[in-house]
Amino acid sequence: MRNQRFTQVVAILLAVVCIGSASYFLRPIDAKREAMGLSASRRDVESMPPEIALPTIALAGFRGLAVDYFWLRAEQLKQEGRYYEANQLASWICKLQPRFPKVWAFQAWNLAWNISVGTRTPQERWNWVYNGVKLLRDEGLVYNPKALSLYRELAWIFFFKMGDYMDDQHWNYKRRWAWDMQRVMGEPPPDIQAESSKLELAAILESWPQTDKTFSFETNKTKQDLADIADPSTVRVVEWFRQIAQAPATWNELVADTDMAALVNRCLKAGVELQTGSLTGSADVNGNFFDKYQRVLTPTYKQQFVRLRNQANYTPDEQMLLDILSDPATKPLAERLINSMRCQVLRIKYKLDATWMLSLMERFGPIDWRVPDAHGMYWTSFGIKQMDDLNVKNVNEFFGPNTTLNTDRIMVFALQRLTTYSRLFFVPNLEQIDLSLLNLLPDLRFVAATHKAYLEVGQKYDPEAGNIAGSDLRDGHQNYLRDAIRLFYLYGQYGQANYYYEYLRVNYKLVTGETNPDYMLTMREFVMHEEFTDRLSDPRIVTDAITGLINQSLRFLVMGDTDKVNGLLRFAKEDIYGSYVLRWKDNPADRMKLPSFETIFNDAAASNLNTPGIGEDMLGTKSRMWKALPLTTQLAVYDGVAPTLKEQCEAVGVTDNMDQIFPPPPGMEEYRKTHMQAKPKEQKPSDYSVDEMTRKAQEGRDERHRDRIQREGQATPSPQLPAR
Amino acid sequence: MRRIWAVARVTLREALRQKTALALLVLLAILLPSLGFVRGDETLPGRAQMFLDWSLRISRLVLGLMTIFIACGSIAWELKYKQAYITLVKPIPRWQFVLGKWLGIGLLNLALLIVVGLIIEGFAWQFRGRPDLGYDKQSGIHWKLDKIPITGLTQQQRDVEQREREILNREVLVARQSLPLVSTERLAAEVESEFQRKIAAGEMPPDFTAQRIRDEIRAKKIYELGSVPANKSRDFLFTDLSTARREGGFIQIRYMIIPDNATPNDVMSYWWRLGDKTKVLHEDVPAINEPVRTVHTIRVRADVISDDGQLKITFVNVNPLDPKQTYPSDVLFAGDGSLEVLYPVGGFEANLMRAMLLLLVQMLFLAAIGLFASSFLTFPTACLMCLVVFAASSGVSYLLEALSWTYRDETAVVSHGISRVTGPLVSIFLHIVPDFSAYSPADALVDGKMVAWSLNITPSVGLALLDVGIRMTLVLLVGCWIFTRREVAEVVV
Repeated sequence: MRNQRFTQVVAILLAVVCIGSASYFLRPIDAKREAMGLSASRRDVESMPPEIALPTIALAGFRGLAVDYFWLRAEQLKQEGRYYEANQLASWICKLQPRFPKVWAFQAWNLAWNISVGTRTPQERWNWVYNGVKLLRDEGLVYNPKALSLYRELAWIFFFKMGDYMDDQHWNYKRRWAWDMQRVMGEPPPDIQAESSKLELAAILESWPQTDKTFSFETNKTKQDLADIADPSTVRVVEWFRQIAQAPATWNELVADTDMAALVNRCLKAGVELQTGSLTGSADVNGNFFDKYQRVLTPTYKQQFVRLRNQANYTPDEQMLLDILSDPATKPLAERLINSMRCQVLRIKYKLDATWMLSLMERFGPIDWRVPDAHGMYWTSFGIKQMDDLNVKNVNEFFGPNTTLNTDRIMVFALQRLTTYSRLFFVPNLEQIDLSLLNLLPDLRFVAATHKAYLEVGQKYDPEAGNIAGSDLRDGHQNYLRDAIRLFYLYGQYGQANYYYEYLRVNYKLVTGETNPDYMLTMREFVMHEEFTDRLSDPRIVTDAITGLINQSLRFLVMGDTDKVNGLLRFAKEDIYGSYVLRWKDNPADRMKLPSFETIFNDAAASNLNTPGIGEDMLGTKSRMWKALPLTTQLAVYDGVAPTLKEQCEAVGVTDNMDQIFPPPPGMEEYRKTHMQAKPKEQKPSDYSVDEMTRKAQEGRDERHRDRIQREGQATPSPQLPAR
Repeated sequence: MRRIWAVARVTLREALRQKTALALLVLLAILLPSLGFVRGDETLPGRAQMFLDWSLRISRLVLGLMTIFIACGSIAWELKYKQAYITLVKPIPRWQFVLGKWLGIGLLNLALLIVVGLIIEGFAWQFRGRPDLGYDKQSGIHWKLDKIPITGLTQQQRDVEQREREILNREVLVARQSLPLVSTERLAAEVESEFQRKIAAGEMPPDFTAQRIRDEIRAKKIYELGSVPANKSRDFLFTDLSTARREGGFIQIRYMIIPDNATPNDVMSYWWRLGDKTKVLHEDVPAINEPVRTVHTIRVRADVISDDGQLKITFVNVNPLDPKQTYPSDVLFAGDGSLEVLYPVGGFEANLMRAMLLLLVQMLFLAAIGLFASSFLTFPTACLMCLVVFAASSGVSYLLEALSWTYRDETAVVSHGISRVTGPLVSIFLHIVPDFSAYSPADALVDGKMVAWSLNITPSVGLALLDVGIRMTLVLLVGCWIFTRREVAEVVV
């Protein structure tokens, strides 16, 4: 008995010692676990939604095992080519360790980059890429709002998976994303940069190649800081978006205004689905509002044609929207309502902060949010904003070495991308969105912002850099400006080209302090660099190059951007066509001769108009192109394109409106009479006076050379004849 | 028989009173319907596949655990709490007592599997878009799939839904037969035959182990049967496809490219010609930058099969965009899933029923093991033994493969401390327990593959009945024998 009592006492003492020791060590161990992110803290759990909090608590120590199982299964299924669970497993894996950013990053990367390429159809490909985006954007960032790496990973998908040209299906992603954004935000206002310019198409076609007219220094402009000159189209686009960003951002804000509340009630009574009911009985803004009312709010050409024929068959709620938007009395209020819906859907469905979007536009330029690169920039900058809010002094220590430099570089890179590929030419084809017409053209409105960003970032890391981008970025900056100058020249914006060329010459000198000889050339020599011009000795290559430029100019013609049309055509005619004629002036062999420039232009225009139609969307584009073509071209190509256009009009049931859509050119009968009898004489290259062109080119060069000497007050190398 | 039936009924009632069993059933009742709402890959076929996969796996796990607990507890607890005495003093032979218990547990599983089957069918009906039942003189009773309204906000969304439903009905909620290029069985048989020939001819290298020689023969066979050199093409002929030709519609070609050399970014470009150009319509399918070692699927009309039921598939190991860019690597097709043709042979409902039967066979085996273990062990030990058997039988092929890899490396055997004695014992154990993974209905149903009655198609109900049935009978016999000879009550003086 005594022994038993002794044993009991010893056991109790032992238990007390063990419990005491455990209690003593538990607190520091827990603190360390929490600090190292090994366990969910009470605060974490309380802020978690139930679907995460429940398994986190219920699985306790088995959480790791469950994660391991899901991870193994995900990998096994991936290897077996079974992807139906991949999305769900990725979500479960991440939600079981929600505060571990690397897991989110890996799983999103796996969905967007690995699994997507294992599928075949455009729809499947897009689904997987977008699943990767959604995993990060809709879930990962919700639990890790301060994880810079997740913002960067998300931006990476937009930049390289969707925005770049690495993936076979990149056009598919770009088209789908463009349509997604256009459906919600609508089409931005036309981004014509120089409204005062007159279309000089006819004049250019009629003129002779005159290389001396392509260049003139606008000395007054070079003295101004062109970066600070606001382009009217930029202002217009930013103001257009401001309407969205500054619209009521929540439902309560929206209906606070009594007039708006009355309009909303009127819409709701007519069955307009502004809201969706939720399980809790309260109502949320309908995230699918713009899907539902797309044909009223962002009608495609096709739907516009249907409306034109009064065959739209709108449902009562669609008709209601149409009515309030077309009634002058309610239009302003209705537009505010739609803008508020846009702002809210951007936030709810796409997790985009319209105010931050606007601030980026105000800072950098008329960002077109239909372009994936724009979203790459948004998420990078939003990540930096979060980092700033965190007020971390030692960012590089906290997020890893070179974090700030790398993120700054990404921002500059984003701006570069916007310069190169952010001008959208987009005609959606709703039957098969991956077959929509989409072209990404350079947008030179971002050059000033990019140039400024280069200087700011460069000077941030190299304060002694002066007026250049510092040692880290100087090569990138120069390369970027060289490309920009060539593009400015190509698009006829010679003043801007001169400004940046002058900047390069003055600021980027050689180590010896001398001016870089690359920047001592005339503008034309600089643009028509050997690497480019040496290839222009073959008539086929020249014809292809000219046709390519004409095709691009025709797209700008549809968009109404006359500056670009003029610039491209001038470049095609006077620089490429003219140079070729000059090059072969002493070798009049027939095999090397080109057709006349006008013939090449007419052929390209006819070819564009004869493109097999993909419905009314294409027909609308062609109609705009046709109406903008010069009369001479219309007369020359009408009989060749009319049968195709008629067939396409018949196919969509607008044959009766053909004369409105493609008006026959005046004087067609007369033209037929004269040209049917005597076939139009092909304008041969021999018709050109080569000697005259050589003389003019020489004069032009001399003039430009003199101009530079006067400005710089120093001698430059003697002018040389163009390379043959 | 009446006595067995009476024990079975009592067992059934007792089982339903057990809290553990009830808790597991409640868990199943919550989990199964919830699985119907998982998003999967957010496509209709993906959601259906995920539901089928997880519902079958979870049902198997939960019912397996329930069966083990009930079977082990049934005899062990009755003996512990002396309830068994009331029955055993009656004129009932011990073997009938054990058999009755087994039958009772089997009936419970049957009832629950019917419920599980109905839930799965309910969700399948939902996924299909809630079609009506119709009657047609030729095809009998069938779902009226063409009458289902397609919902969606825009025409594009409606088109997507329509396409997804077509894929669902064609590739998931259907029973399709698979015709592999080279089955694992055929490959193993050819390897064994060559191995035996080498032994007979005395061509065995003296320094090589048997396993190494088999591996080398296997590699050579794989190369002979399914290799395509770079810049070359090879025809693969599939026969016995008359049924698929007759039924029309679509067939699927599933394949996995295994390159001989490492390829940049693990992708390759090549193309397929499906159908014999001289006999039937054919289709050329280019594949650009497709990931290797991943299963891909091509859907093609059954018209590519010739009238005599043959399908010629030509693999062209040439980059379709630019032949000069063809990556210099041979491509191998070998084993299950490397290259197979899938074609529809039946409906989903009958397939689901056969899948449920496969699960029932597994549950009956677990019940037999549980009763066998509890005939001489206490409840916890019996449960532990059954759980080991359950886990091992669920992963027999994985464990055997892992074990074979351990043997290949002589140093690993020593360093990992796996002796030459315990290794074979584990191997023998794994050969004694049935391989449940070979009878897993989940993989088949997810791929819309047929669960067959016949023995030559996997998974097969017939084979499961034969294979598992024999093991189950042996286990039950031994269990009955042990229980008959066991002294259930000691005489205490």
